[in-house]
Amino acid sequence: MATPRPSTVVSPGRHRFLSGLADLGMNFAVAIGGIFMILPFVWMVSASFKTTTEIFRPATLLPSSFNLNNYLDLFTRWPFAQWFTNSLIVAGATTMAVLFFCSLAGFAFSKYRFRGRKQLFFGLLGSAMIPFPILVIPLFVIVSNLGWTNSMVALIVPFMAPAIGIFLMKQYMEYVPQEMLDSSRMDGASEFRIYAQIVLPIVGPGLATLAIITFLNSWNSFLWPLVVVRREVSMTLPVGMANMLTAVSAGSARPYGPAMAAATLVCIPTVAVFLLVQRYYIAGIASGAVK
Amino acid sequence: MVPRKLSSRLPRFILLLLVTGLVAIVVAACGGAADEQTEGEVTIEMWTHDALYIQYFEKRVAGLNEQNDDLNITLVAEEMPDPITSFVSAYIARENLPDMIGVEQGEFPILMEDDVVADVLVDLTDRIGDRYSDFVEGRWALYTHDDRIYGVESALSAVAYYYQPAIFEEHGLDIPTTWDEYVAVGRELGAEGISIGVADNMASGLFGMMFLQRGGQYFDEDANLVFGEGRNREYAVEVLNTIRELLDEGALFVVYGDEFWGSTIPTAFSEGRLAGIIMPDWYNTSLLQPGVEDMAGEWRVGPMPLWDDPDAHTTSVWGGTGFAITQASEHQEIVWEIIDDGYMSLDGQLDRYATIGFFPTKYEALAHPDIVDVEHAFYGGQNIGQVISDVALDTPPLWQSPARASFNSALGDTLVPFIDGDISAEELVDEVVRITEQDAGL
Amino acid sequence: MATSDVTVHRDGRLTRATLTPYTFIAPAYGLFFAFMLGPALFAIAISFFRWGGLRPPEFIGIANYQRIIADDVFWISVRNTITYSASSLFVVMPLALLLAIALNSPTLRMKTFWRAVYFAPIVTSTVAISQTFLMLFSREFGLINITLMRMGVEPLDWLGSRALARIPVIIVIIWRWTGLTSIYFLAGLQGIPADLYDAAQVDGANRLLQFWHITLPQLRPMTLFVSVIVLIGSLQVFDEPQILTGGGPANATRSVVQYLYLRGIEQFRFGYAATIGFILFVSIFLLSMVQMGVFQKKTS
Repeated sequence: MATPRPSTVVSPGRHRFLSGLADLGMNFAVAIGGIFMILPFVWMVSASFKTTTEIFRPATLLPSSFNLNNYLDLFTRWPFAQWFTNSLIVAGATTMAVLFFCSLAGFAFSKYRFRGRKQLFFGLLGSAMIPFPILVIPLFVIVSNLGWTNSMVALIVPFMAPAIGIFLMKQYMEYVPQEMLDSSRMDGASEFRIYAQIVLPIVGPGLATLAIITFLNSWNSFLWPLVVVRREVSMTLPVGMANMLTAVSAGSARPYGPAMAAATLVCIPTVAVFLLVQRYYIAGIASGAVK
Repeated sequence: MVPRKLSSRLPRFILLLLVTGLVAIVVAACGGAADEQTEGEVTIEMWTHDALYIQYFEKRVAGLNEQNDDLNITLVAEEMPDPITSFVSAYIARENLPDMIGVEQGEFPILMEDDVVADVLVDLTDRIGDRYSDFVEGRWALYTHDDRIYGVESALSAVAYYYQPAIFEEHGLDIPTTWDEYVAVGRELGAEGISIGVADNMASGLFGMMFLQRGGQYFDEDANLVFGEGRNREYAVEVLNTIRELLDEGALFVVYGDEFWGSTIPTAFSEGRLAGIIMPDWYNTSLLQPGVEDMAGEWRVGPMPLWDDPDAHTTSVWGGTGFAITQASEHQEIVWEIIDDGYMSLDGQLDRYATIGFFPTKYEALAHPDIVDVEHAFYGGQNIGQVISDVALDTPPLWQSPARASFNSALGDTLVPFIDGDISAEELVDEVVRITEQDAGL
Repeated sequence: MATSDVTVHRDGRLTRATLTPYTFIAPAYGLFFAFMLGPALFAIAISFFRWGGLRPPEFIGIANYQRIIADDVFWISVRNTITYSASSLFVVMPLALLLAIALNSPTLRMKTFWRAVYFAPIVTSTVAISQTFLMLFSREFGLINITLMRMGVEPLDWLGSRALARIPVIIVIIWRWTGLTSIYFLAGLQGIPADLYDAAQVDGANRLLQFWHITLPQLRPMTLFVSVIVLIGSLQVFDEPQILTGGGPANATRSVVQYLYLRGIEQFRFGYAATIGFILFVSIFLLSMVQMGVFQKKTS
C-alpha cells in the first residue's frame, strides 16, 4: 500500500486525498490478488468441460462448449464413485471419533481436578510437536503388521485423538459454568451423562469448529493414504486422482480432462460448504492462536 | 437452563455429517461378502502396470476356457503404477497377494536385494527347460537371479527409429542410417528449428539405448557394477559426446521427467517441430499411435542408426515386462498354463503381436509371415515387423543387479546437468559410479 | 488411588469421581501412546538398523547417520525445503499480513466476496490444485506459457528446468497458504484495542504511522506464533512438489519429506528413511526453539 511520506502533520484535505488514494490502491491490490486466487478454479472447471484436443491445443480460458464426457469418463474408466465413498467414510468416521474422544478428554482436563492433570495435559500437548513425517515409517510397519493396509481403518484409527482437538475442546469447556454441573450432580446424573447431555450441547460451536477442521484435513490428506493404500478400490480421492495422472496408462493420452473433472468434484463442494460455515472454522483457527 | 437434547444445540450440518458417516460405515460393512467357488472354477488375480497386458490375457484366458471343458478361469486383473512395489508392500503386510504379476524389468532389482525373489516368486527355470534356447537369450537375463529365471518376457523391446518422412523430404534430406549421418542431418534440421530426436533424463532412455547398442553394459553377468571400467567407460563417453554434439546443434528435443509420457512429445510431432524418435518396438502401440491418432499414414519405421564399429549391435533394447507366478498363489499350475499358452507358444507369440502389437521373443516367430508381412496403415502400409525382425537377433542383453535401482536414479539425476551442459561426459560417469557405490547396502 | 486435591461431591461419590477423569482421558492417551509416542520412539530405534521389511532388521549402529551426512541428494532436499520454508516465511507471511489488514479495513469494498475468494483455497485439495497448476504451467499447452508467447516472450520449461521448477511449487504454496495464514493475523488485528488507534488519531498519526507504531508491535506475539507454525508446516512440504514434479528434474524440487517417502516407501529402506525422519524432527524442534528465543529477546 502506497501511502507516501509518513508526516505527522498533514492538512485535512491532503490527508483525505492520500487516504483515498491508499484505499484505491488497497482495493486494486486485493482485486488483482483475487484474480490470481480465482484463476485456477476457473481453469479447473473450464478444463473439465474441454475435449482432449481442446486441452492440448490453444490454451483458452473458457471451453468452446460444455462437453460432459470427462465426467462420464471419470465414473466409467475409474472407480471415482468408490473413491468418493471411501473419502466420505474415512473423513466422516475420523470426524465422529475425533469429536467424541477429544471432547471427552477435553471435558476431563477442564472440569476435574486430579493428580497429574497438568503433566498429562502438557504431555499430550507436547505430542503436537511431533511432525507427522517421522511417524510415516513406524506407522507403516505397525499398520502392516496389524494387516490394516489398504483398509480404511489405517486411515482413521491413528488420527482419532489429535492433541490440538483436545486442546480446543478444553478451551471451549472452560466456559461451561461449574454450577450447571453441580446442580445436575445433585439431581443424580452420572458423570458421563453430564458430559453428554449438558456439556456437549453447550460447546456445540466448538464441536462444529473441530468437525470442520478434522473433516477437511482428512478429506484432503494425501501422504498417509498414499503410503498405506495401493489398491484402486481402497483409494481415497487425493490418491486416486494422483494415480490418474501418474499411471502411465499405455494406449491412451494423459487424462487431463477427467482429472480436472475430478478436481472440480473434489474442490467445489468443499469450497461451497466451507463458505457457508467459515465462521466456525475461522473461530477455531483464531481461538487456537489467541490462547 | 439445561438443554434436554444434544441435537437441539448442535449445528444441523454436524448431524448431517454424523448421519452420512454412519450410513457410509454400514454400507461399507455390508459390502464385501465373499463368493464361493465351485470346482473347476478358478479365479486368477493378476497385477500389471499396463492395460494392454490385461487386454491380451483376458483374450487368451477366454480361449483356454473354451478349449477345456473342465476349466473355468476368471482373470481378475488390476492395473497399478508400480506392481512390484505394491507387491512387496502387500507381502510385508501379509495381505492377499496376486497369483500372477507383471514384473517390469526396472522393478525386478527390488526383488533381487537380499535374495527376496526366491521367497516370493516361483522359479520357472525347470518349467522353461529346453525351451530356453527357443527364445532371444537376452530377454531371460532381465528376470534372472542366481541363475534362476522368474519371468517370461512380454516384448522383444528392440529399438527402431520412428519418423515422419515428409519432414525429411521437405528439406531434401535422407533418413540417417549411421550416427554420423544422424548428427549431420540433425544439424541441418536443427538449423530449421526442427529436432531429429528426443533427449531425456531416464537411465534407459536415449543414452541407455545408444550405450547398449554401442556394446556397453552397466553391470556384468554377476551383477557387479562395471559402468566406470574399461570399454564400458569409453563407450559411455563416446555416446555422451555424440549426444552432446546433437544438443549443441539444436538437434534434440529435451524432455525431462514425466512429461516424456505425456502430451509434450505428441504435440511436438503434430506441430512438425519434432521429426522422429528412437524408441523400442512397444512405443508403436502404447504411445505413438494413441498420441498422434490423426497422423495415420504419415509415419515410417527405420532401423536404429549404426555405429562405425562391427562389434557394436545393430539395435538396442529398452524395457520389458516379465510375467511371473507368485509363491502365494494356490493355482501355480494354472498361472503357468496361462503364461505358457500366451507367451511361450508360437500361436501366443503371433497373437500377442496381432492383439497388442508387442514384438515376439521366440525365434520361430521372428520371421513369421504374421509378423513381417503385415501392412500397417498407420505407417502408410509399411511392413514394420520386417524392420524389427531384421535386427531382432542382435538385440543386446541387459544384465541385472540389485544395485540397478540406485544406478538408474543416479544416472537419471546426472543426465540432467549433463544435458544442461554443466558437466562433462567423464564427470557424469564418475558421478554415477560414485553415487551407486555410496548407495550400496543401504 | 488416594488423592488430596480431588473434588469431593456432595453425595460423597469419591471413588468414582476420582477415577472418572482418568477414564475420560484414557482413550485419547491410549491412541496417543499407540500411534504417536510409541511410533516416534520406534522410529528412533529403526534408524539404527538396516531394514527392508522383508528380512529381519540388522543392527548397524550409527551407519545410517554417517551415510546421510555424505548423501548429496539428502542435502539437495534440505536446500529445497529451506527454499520452500523461506518462501513461506518471507512471502506468504507478509502477504498474509497485508491481506489481513485489507480484509480488516473498513474501506475495502465487497469484503464478504473477497474473504470468500481468499479463504476458498484453504479447503481445496492440494492434489487437485497442484494438478490444476501442473496444467497451467505445462510447457506445451499451459495458459502461462501461451500468455507469455502472446506477449512476445519465449515460453519457459517451468517444470522441466532445474532453475525454474521450484517456482511453480512456491506459487502453489503461496496460493494455498496465504488465506489460512491471514486468518491468524485477522484474529490478531481484531484483538488490538480500538482505543489505541483512537488515541493515535487524536495525535494526528496517519495510517502508516499507526501501522508501524501500533499494529506491528501489537501483532508481535501473533507473528511469533504464526512464524512457528508456518515454519513447522513448510518444513513438511510434500503434496505440492510430489504432484507437480515428483521431485525432479534431478531432485531440483525434492523436499525432505519426499526424500523420506522415496527411500522408505518406494525403495523399502526403512532404517534410512527413519533416519531422515528423525533428523527432520530434531531440526523442526531446534528451529522452533531458536525462533521463539529470537522473538522473545526482541519483544523484551
